[in-house]
Amino acid sequence: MFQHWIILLVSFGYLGILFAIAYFGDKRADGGRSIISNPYIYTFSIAVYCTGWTFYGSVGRAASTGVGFLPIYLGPTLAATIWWMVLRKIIRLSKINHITSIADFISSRYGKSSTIGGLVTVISVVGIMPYISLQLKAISSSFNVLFYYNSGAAGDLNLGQDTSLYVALILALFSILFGTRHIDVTERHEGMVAAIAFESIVKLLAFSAVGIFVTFMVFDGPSELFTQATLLPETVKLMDMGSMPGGYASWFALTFISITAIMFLPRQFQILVVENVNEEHVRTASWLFPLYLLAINLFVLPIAIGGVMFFQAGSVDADMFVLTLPLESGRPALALFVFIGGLSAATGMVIVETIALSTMICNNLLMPVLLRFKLLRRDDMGRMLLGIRRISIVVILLLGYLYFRFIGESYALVTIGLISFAAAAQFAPAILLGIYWKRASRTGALAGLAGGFAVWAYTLFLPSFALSGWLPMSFVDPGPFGISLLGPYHLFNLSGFDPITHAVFWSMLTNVGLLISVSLFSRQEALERLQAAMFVDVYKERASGAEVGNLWHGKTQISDLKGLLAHLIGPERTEMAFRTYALQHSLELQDNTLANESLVTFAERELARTIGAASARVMISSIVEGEALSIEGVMKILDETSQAIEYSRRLEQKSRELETATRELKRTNERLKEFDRLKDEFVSTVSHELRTPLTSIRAFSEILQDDAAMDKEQRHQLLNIIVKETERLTRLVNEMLDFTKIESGAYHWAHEKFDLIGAVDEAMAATSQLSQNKNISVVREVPGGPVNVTGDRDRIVQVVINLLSNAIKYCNSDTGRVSLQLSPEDDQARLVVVDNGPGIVSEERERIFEKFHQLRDASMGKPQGTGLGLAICKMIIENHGGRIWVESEPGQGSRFIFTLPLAP
Amino acid sequence: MTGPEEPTAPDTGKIPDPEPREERLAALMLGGLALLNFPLLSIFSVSGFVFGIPVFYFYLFSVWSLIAGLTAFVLRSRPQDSPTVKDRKGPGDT
Amino acid sequence: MPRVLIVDDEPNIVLALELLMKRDGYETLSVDDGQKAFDAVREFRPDLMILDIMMPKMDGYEVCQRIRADDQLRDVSIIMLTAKGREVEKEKGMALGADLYITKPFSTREVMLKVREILDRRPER
Repeated sequence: MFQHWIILLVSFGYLGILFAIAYFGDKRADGGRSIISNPYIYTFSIAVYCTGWTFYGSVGRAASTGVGFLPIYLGPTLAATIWWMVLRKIIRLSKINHITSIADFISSRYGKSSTIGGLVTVISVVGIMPYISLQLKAISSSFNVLFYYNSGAAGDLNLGQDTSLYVALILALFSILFGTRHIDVTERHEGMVAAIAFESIVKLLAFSAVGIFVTFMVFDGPSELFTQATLLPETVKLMDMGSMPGGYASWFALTFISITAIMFLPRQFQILVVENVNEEHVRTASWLFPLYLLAINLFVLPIAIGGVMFFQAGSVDADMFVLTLPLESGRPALALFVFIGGLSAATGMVIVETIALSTMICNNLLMPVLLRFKLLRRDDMGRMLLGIRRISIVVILLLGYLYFRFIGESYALVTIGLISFAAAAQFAPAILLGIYWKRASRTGALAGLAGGFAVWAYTLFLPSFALSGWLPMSFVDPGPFGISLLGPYHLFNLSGFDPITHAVFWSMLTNVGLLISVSLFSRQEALERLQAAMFVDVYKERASGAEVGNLWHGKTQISDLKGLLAHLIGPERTEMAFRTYALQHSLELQDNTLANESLVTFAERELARTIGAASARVMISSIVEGEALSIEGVMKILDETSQAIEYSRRLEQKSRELETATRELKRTNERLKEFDRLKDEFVSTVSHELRTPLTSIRAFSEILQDDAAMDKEQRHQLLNIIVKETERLTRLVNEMLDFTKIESGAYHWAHEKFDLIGAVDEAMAATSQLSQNKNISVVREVPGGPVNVTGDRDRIVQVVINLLSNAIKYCNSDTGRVSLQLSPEDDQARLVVVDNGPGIVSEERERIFEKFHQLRDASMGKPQGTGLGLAICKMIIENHGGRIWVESEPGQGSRFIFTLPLAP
Repeated sequence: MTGPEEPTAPDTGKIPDPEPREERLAALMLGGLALLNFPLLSIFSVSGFVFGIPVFYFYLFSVWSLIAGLTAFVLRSRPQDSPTVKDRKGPGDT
Repeated sequence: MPRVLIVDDEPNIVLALELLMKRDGYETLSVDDGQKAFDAVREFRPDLMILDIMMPKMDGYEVCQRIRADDQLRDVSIIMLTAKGREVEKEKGMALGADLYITKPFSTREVMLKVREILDRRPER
């Protein structure tokens, strides 16, 4: 029909366009201007879900089962309704942990277990093999149709298989170009995503074009088409559930596995999670993607019915109706366009799937093995990783080819695809339970995955070999060794299900049952529990700002970390990463210093971006000496359940309250004790002060009493002393009464306007005797005019007397000099009493105004007075709205100063 | 280059939703599952046409559109939506 | 003639004690702080000292303690005389080696009685 070269030219031309888009996308990404940071591009890239199976197989399935193709698309529609919760959580977790693939995700959740990562990888590779082969089959079939349709050579099987080998190799090359171009291997491929989104648009347009062509041009619109269909027995049964094999049970099973497949097929996980740029894009994708599915399926049934009616006896493969209908109607250009659409669907799937799988094979299968056997050379690791991935891609495609070659021919496209779907469904329990149930344990997940996979292999994968003649048919029917109880299609004689539903039932039962029961009966290790808590509580953990996974307790030098990273992600990126880290933490990172926990964790995450969590952990632990788990880590695990967190939070609050109360009580007690101590001291001091004059009085009185013969002069002297001491006693008692009265607030203050100069003069007169006794001159400096203040004159006089007598008391006789200066200053009167006494040390300066405080400095002699004088002064001055303080240095004398507001 | 600290934007998972958005979505999923499975499905598995389209086919596509529409309605952006994690930069960004 | 050292910083009390001691025929020396008291014990070699507690420079407790620690001085009898009347302080004084603890204000007759008792108990030098 077509010249071969035209088809090849168009095909390669199209692939060239895709590559250009990918190249452009990568360039833009490198330049920081992402073209895929857009919810619509994200949505279209998710449509990689629609593969050659959708494009060709849906019509084929519809032609035999009617609506039977639809659950595969209704499932994702239902799944999309809860993407906002589930998918967003997975995306958040993956971003935090730099997850590179679904194997990485599951392994990371279950304690960064490399065993689980490896198992998931094996399940993926084996499970997806049929799916890849399906794409090869779709592409090569479509090639063959275009090449040989009506040319009589369509049945050339050998040629068909050769085509699929070439297709496999070309796709491998193409995937390598797309996915493993860079030397710095990271988990994201912006250019590829852009190309995939473009392909999704092309395939939708192509399929809609052929749909519209068949519905409106071959037939006269949908009504006419369906009306005609009611006339034929083959087509009338396609319009309801009647022709659905397995009935409603199968319908439900298909819905179920497609709900899981849309998220957990390795390529879907890659696109939905790993390549996601912004969580917010999920919002749009949740409704737009179901609409995309609806649009691409709208014409499936019309094309199928149209095809069946058009070709009558079924001489043409229904899978290829989309090509044969236009060709038969003389529309080769449309057929070519449809072919490109199909090519888009198949290549898109293969590229993303192989990239995802090769990442998993490299990070989760080979790396742990290489690390264990120390086969990695540090100096060219980056290159080695890239090599592994490239080889993996080729191997995956060749495996797909082999499966196609040996088995694929005996199946329809959809049936092959469903085998893979059932395999991907095995990941659902481990992931979904894993992000909502902390108890789900590593051993549980391992048991569930292994059990589910084994059942899947036994009930779906192995029978496909039997059906293709590679195993004896008796393996399937009656069963291995003739035991019908073990028949893979009717295990334990469970009948009534089609093989897919049967396999889904048994494998999921095994998987979920083992995961839950083993988890309930196994203990989680520390790291496992930590990861579990972090995965389940990702929103809580992040909200509280807690740094998760700071588990490195050992020691390593920063230069070692740098070296390790440089080999894997390149020296430039390493340098940049460390510089960013240093900036963000305002640190100076010296190469030869020890890295702290947070830096090691940071390095681990950077590594995880490239080689996955489990491998990163092993690599880091190879250079970090010491234990991997810190006390904090263990403590965090102890808080694992939310109840425990809540409980401990309340406990903490209670203990905080208790602490506060205790502190309060302690403070009060301290105050009371201090008060008690002061009172005690006061009583002691007062008692001392009372006893001293009393002693003299009693002693002299007794002497006078006993010694009647004492001469008159001496008798007079002694009597004089007794009088003085009595006065001293009186003064003391008065002061104490004053103090208590003022302090208790019982004192009635006078409120009169008076001249401070008069008060000063009165005070000087009162102390003149004192100064004369010590031969100390008191100098008075006062302004000419009056200095009027308002208040209690007698009390102010008392203050001045107190200050003056203190000054005199502390001065040496003869050499002592005291001066009093009074001056109005702004709106205040300022009075200063200066002496040249011993001065006061700084720590005493504030305290001398405290009640009961006395100067106890040894050089100052015993306390002079009750320790109430200055306290009383302070109370009086402050009561008048003034301030009193002292300026002094030891040996430099003292300046007692007070201010009072001037009367208006 | 992505820094070690993830953006600390306020978390939509923590801030109480002004609408019970997550519950609505879950209800939507359960409702969808019920509408698209036995026994409700069997009610519509009958011969006949609506607007020239088989009843069963018409029913499935209607429910399909309805689910997508309701999802869009529940998830529509509202001004009080707090921003979530911002665009992640690709490798090699400075 | 027994010698009595009077240590107190309150001049009136010193005066009273001097009068009492002289009347009973003792030889006296008076000082008004702890440091001087310590020096005076060496110079004056008293048989008895009457020691106030609250004094400048060195308080009575310390004077007492140092005298008792000194081999040459330790045999002097010490009467502590103080206005601090609490039981603890009395015990502290006795513990540090005072022979007697008298609280101010005191009965002059009682003090003189005690002084005589203590001096009589002392071995003749």
